[in-house]
Amino acid sequence: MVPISLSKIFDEFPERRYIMFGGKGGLGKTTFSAATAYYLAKQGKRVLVFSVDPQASLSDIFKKDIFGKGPTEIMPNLYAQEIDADRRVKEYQQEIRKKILDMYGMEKIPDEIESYIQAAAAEPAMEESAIFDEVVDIVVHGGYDYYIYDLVPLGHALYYLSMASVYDEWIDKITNLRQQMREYDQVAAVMKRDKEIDEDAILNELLYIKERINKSSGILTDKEKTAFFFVLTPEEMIINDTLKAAELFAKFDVPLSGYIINRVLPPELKSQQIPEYLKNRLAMQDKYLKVIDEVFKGQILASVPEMERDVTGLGMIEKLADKMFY
Amino acid sequence: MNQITTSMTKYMSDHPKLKYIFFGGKGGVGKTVMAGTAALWAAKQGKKTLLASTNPVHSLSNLFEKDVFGKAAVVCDDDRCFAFEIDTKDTIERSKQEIREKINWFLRFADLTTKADDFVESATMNPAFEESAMFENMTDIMFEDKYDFYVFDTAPTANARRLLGMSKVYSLWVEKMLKSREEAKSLREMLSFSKKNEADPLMDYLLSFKDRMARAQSLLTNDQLTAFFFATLPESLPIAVITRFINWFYEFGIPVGGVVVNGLIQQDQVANDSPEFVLNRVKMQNEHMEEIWQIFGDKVRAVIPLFETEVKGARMVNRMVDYLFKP
Repeated sequence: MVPISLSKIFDEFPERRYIMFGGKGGLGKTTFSAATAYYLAKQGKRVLVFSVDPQASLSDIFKKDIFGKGPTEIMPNLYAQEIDADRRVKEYQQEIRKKILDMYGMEKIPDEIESYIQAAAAEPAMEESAIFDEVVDIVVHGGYDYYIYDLVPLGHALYYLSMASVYDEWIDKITNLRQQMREYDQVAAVMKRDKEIDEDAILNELLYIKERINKSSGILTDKEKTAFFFVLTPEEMIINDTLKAAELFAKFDVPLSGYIINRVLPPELKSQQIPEYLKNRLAMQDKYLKVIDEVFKGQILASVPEMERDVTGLGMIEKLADKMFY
Repeated sequence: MNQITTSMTKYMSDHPKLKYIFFGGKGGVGKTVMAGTAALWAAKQGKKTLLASTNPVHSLSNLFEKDVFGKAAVVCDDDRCFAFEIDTKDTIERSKQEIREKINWFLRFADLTTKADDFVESATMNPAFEESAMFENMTDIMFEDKYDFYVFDTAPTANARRLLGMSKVYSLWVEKMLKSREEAKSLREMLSFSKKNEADPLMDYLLSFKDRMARAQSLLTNDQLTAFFFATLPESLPIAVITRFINWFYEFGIPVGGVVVNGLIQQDQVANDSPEFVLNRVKMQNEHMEEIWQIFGDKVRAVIPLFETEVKGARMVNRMVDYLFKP
């Protein structure tokens, strides 16, 4: 079966500006993100490809250390960014210290408080909100025609997507509790005038966070603006896992644009003198390519061959982009 | 150097007390298969073995073609080998219930009429809650001590590092909480005329929690009991990833058992007249093998050939044992 072309999707839906690749770890999501960014940049679009994964490999793929350096130009129109969550967490800590010093007119943070601040930094929730903040900053800031999210491995991507709604609910709850507390406090409010102003500031901060979250989670599930592609390979376990994951994504209302098959061995090898392992692999792939055809009927957007060496550096990225977009 | 100095088998015999092993690495390098293989090997050594998955997307059931979600079941001919995919939902519900009870107790203790539900909801909806629930689950399994040997098919390693890093933080937090609880308790005793020194379940919980964390940390950082192995392919991205991971683990004082290379094309299957495609891939792999020997050197424990089909089912995993644990 000849797949519908991937480039056609981009031509037909120019308003889909937020591009994501999902799938199990190690199937080629980051590589596809890089190649898609390359293709769009060559078309004259301004593109940012960014990674929120602490296992990020954009630096390795572009052969340029971009970790924590903000959007970095790779070539004209193509920018790449790897988010350094640790640095953001350090900035939070600095902010907290400054607030404490200002608020209490202290010269130095007491040791006891300092150890609290240190401990809080290692909370996983801190890292998550740092990542979330960075992503929201990027999206809200604007300035690019296309944003390509290099998503973390499946389970984490789901987690990340569900997080948006969880945070939303969480903040709702806290906001409500705070509002209730304010009502109880009203009697004493006159006496604690300053304090009441502080409380309001906190409430305002929560509402501000909520607005930002709504904006970014809105984009993730916006069928008009978002294209989500699933990457898979012709192997039984991968097909099963992909089906499981696609179901879960549907639950989160993520608009699936289609599937891309990766690591397909070049069929012309069959007629050549090839080693035993390759003969068997070809036979196995043939079997599962048929399964994929049946299971994902009409939703396969591209079938990308296994490259003869790993995709790092612009030369190999160009080669891969040529195979993806024809 | 370009040969194995300490094989997987030798490492195991050098560490006879080894009880907890973990597999990490980039997605798609074969972590689950390695973990399955190590579990089968341990069972063959006569050890009652548990292979547990803490990954949010499980694949053990798929690997062994048997449903092990939420319950441990025997997965091979050898009835000493069990596999188990941890059901997070279940754990979360249980933790929620525990927290609800504790908050209710506290509210009664403090003579407050507020309902616990709102607090419980807002505390457990916190996204980090699931992660710590998973960690607790893992330590529960370790403490239960029902098996002689444990193999964890770890979640992607960044997560594992964070979880382990957390145990230090946990004890710091708990100490702080204990201190303020002590203060609150003595204040209350001072204020109450009638009540005698009463039991404090919340304090008991915090204390036992602190103990558990300290115990988990001492197990996980003991290089006689625990080892983290890292799997890679002879390709640049997976190598880069585990190079980073291994450095992190050293920082945390977590014992690194070594590196396992997977998916090496067998030279004897390749001839000079093989197609360009094959020769190029072999050339690439050779370059990356050089890199692997250079970076990891005597930490390489095994080099496993590329199999002609995907590894699936107990029989295939069984075949892998001879490769991962070469005599």
